[in-house]
This record gives sequence, C-alpha cells and structure tokens, in this order.
Amino acid sequence: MVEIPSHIIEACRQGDEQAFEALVRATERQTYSLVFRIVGNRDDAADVVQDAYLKAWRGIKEFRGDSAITSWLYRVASNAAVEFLRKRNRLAEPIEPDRMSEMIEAPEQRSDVDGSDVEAALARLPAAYRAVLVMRELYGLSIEEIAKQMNATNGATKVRLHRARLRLAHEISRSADVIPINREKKTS
Amino acid sequence: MRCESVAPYLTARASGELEDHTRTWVDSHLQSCVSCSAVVDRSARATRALRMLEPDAIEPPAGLANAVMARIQEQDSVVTRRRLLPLPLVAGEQLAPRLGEVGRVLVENKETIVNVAGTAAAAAGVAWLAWKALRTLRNTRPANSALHS
Repeated sequence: MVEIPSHIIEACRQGDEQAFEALVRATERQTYSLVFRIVGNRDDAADVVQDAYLKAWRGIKEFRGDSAITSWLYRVASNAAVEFLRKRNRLAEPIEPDRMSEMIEAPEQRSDVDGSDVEAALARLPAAYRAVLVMRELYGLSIEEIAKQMNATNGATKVRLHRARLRLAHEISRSADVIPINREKKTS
Repeated sequence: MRCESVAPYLTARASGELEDHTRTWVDSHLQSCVSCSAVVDRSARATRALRMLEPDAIEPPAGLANAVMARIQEQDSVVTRRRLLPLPLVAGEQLAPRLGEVGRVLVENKETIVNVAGTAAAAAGVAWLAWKALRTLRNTRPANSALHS
C-alpha cells in the first residue's frame, strides 16, 4: 500500500498541481493495474487512467480523509473503468448454464498456480465478471460500493460476484490443465 | 437439504463472507456433500490466488503521469481563462476568428466591392441631382402661375 504524506494530500486539496503530480507518480502503477485488470486492454486502460486522474483532480477538494487517499483513488478509477465498459455495452450479464457450479467440477486444480496464470484466467472472464472480482477481491471495495458503481442492487451484485468466482475457478482449472504441457516443452 | 438450496452461497462461504447463521446452515450441508465441498475448496483456492496478485503488478506505459498532468494543465488553463475574462471579452474572443473570416472575404473580393461601391455612389449622386432639380422646379411653378393669374 502506497503511503501519501498528509501535507501532499492537503496541498492537492488546495489546488497545488505539483503536489498532485507527486500523488499521480506515487499511485500510477496501482491505478493503472486496477484499471487494466477491469478494462482488459492496455490502450483503453491508459485513456481511462487519464480520465480518472482528471476526475480526481476536480473532486479532490471534496476528499474529507474518511478513508485512505489510495482507497478514494481506487473508487474514482474503478468508477471510470466501469463507466468506460458501460459506454461500450460490455457490462451485460453473460448467459450461464443453470448449474454453474458443475463447471468447476473439472480436473483437479494444481496447487502451484502462479500470478501470471491468475492474470490470464482473469483476462479470459467476461468484463462484467472481471470488474466485480477485481473491485472486491483485489482492491477491497464493499458490496454496496460495487453495487453503486454497477447501478445494481446489492443482491444482484452478490449473484454476479458468485458467478464470477465460479468462472474464475473454472478458468484457473483450465490454466492448470494446459500449463504442465507448456512447461514440459520449455524445459525439454 | 438439497444442493440447489445452498449452491448460491458456496463461493461466498469460500470467501468468508457469510453471516454466522447462514454459514452454519451451509456448513451443515457441506459435512455430508462431497460435490458442494469440492466447489467450496476450488473457489477458495481461486479467490486466494486472486488475492495474492500484487495491486501494482502491471507496468503503466511510459509517460503516463506526464500525459495526465498535461491534460490537467490544459483543462486548468481553459477554466482560468473563462474565469478571468469577462463575458464580453469571452464573446469577443469567440467572435474574433469569425471577424477575421469576414476580413479575408473582403480582401479577396476588393475589386468587385470597389466597382459596386463606385457604381452605387455614382447612382446616388445622379439620384441626388435629379431630386434637387425636381425640388427647384416644384418651388418655381406656383410663383409663375401667380404671375399669369
């Protein structure tokens, strides 16, 4: 977690551009990672991050310090990313089989699944699932916050999160299926 | 208890999000159901793996911070100019390019404009002379008729 000194935050609130630049430079990796994981594309992510920081600059006077500045930035950035997906009609609920849980009754999952396998599995999910999973599991947003951003009820958000988790487990199982073959090829 | 009843709660159970009474209810089913327990295990492992990802693992493109600041400065300069310039000046600023366009049209067509203006001036002069002559005639006629009567 990046720590931002309180005098930098206060200077940002007073409209100090240099202080805001320091905030941008300290948080750009986290913000970009969050947005990239939601929108799933490097060019789109760069545009959305710029929009997010512009919104943060305009809104930072309203930041009251109730939460960490990084949490506030995550909310602004994830909101910009979700808005981006919504404008491109990529937030529709995917059509799923009646018994989704059967999807992950697949081959035994390897225990040595690494970060790149998880990133790849995440990237294969529909955007609507990726968005809720990333916001909830990686950046700790509450169900209520996610529901607000997705224009959905808490109940609908829980259902979407449940389906997203099942799909992620399924995709990780698929990764585990193909990884050993690839690794054998690399080592031979 | 049927699997369909607890199915919607299995991944929330795996992520530790259920309230106590719901968790107890789900767990009572899991004790006797191998397939639902497997779903919980796999979902728990997937969620754990996801949570292990670094929040800043992905390298942003070079110059992203500079691009952000350039956009902010661009926005700020527009906002500042709008605040500082009073409304007539803002209106003038917007009209200036259009006035420039009018000037360009005038220069490009100056010969036609000079010819039209010269002809119009000559016509106005002739009309003025004719009007003067008519007035003089009208003023002199009653005096002549009075002499004849």
